[in-house]
Amino acid sequence: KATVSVLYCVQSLASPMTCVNDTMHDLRDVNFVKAMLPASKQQSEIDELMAADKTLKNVKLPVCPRPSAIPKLNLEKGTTTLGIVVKDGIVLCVDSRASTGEFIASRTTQKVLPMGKTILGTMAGGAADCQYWERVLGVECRLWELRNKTTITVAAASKILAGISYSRRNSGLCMGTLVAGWDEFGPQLYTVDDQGTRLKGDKFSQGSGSVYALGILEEHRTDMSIEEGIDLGRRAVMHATHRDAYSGGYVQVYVVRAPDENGHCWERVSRDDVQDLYKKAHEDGTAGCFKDLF
Amino acid sequence: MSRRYDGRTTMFSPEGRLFQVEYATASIGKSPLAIGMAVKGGILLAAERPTQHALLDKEHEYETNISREKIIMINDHLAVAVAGLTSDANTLVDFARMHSLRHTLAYSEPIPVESLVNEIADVKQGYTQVGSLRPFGVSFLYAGYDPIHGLQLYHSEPCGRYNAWKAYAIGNHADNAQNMLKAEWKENMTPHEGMLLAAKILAKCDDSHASVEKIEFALMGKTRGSPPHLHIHKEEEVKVVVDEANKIREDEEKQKEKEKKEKLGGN
Repeated sequence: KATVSVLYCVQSLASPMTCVNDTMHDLRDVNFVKAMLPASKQQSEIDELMAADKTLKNVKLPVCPRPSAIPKLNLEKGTTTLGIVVKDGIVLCVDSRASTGEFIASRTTQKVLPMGKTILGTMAGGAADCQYWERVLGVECRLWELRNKTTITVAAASKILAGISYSRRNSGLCMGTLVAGWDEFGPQLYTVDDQGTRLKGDKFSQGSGSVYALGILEEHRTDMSIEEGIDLGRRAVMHATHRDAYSGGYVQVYVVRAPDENGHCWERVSRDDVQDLYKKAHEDGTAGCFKDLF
Repeated sequence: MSRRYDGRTTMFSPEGRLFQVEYATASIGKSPLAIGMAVKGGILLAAERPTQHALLDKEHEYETNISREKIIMINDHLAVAVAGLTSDANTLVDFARMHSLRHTLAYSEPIPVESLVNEIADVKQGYTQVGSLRPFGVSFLYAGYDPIHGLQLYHSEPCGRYNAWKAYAIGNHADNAQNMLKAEWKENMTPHEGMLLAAKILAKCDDSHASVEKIEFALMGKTRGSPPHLHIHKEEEVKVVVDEANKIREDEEKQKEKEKKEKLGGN
């Protein structure tokens, strides 16, 4: 019984949506055996197999779904990441929950990856895809610096990643990233998708919690100060983690500013447990839109 | 020395020599001198700058104090000094950069110096054996740091051979320079002393006085607690060293003159 339940778990992790071939088949079922065999097998070979089957009389073996039966993965990108452009920079807020199905694999995932001193990338979606391709992007940014003796623009960096995604768009990549950085054109924020979509904008959010975060982000204006932006972004992720099952853990806030004397543009501002934040917000009464009424 | 066996890289001569490889080494001997030496807290690379044409647009070069032909950064912890054909060197430098970053991508660590040197040396060797392509006419001095062996200086040849050195010279008059290094290089010299020695050698091999237009320095430095860093010396810093080296040389010459006069006077 224990082995059966493990196999069921494995199946559901691989395909969170309903699995087509859930039932157990009896190998004595001739039609089933015939269906599983390649068409080239002769009747005599089938008879041989059926004869050999006598030893497996009482064993019901679970069926492995055939390749065409594997349903399309609909990974909802369980996370909340957001980026907003404010007056003197960009504020990036991410949660830190990694989930595999209904299991919370980690509550301390690092979803922001720096690419050198001037660019940050966030990760939403499949952790493996994001981590691998953003590291490749980091390498390309460094190669650019070595070859051209200048830091890469955010437009170029995001274009490299979009090119990578687009060339693999049918491979089942699951990756939503925000590429944020400071270059000679000022603060730049791009969103890059696993289909190769690349958009420039002032306000983006990704992941399953993005729907909640975007509601809170409606107050965003591009002339906000960085402190206001940090507060807004942090609140947005906090509210999203409160309602979205696939987001949670800590909210990390990163800020991208004009470069300092070493050419360094980004820093991590804070890392707060969302549950503490939520509690505090409700104690203060600053949880949301009611603060102006009192 | 039969010239019948020098038409192809892939042919030995009856004495067992690969002429094309030797010719490659000879072509390096025409390139300006480059010196590398281990000093306290770093590896010093010094190079004789190739003569600059008056019409060269130097204003638009990225750094005015480095010629981009002699001392090149591969990665944060690795730099090379080049002697030989510049175009061949550029190809190998780009390959080295990609290889070191590929290593970082795969192993999440900066590439160990010897690993990179080995890889470049293998590439060079491949061009002496496979494919009937001519060898690279480049010699490198690699200055690098890794946590395994600390600060290291390597030299690789067109034949694909490499060694680790405490001090080495490549390019024009490299033999003279190497002899001088052997006589005067000491363990644990400070970077400043190293630069004075390098300036002296460069001046002597060029049979002239050291000058800022002719010399460039770079130090691959490593101090405790901070990551390795390539410091390319600015013109002001080079000038300080060059002035001091010239002054020392003048003093020595005056001293020699004095001794000569005394001898003659005595007689």
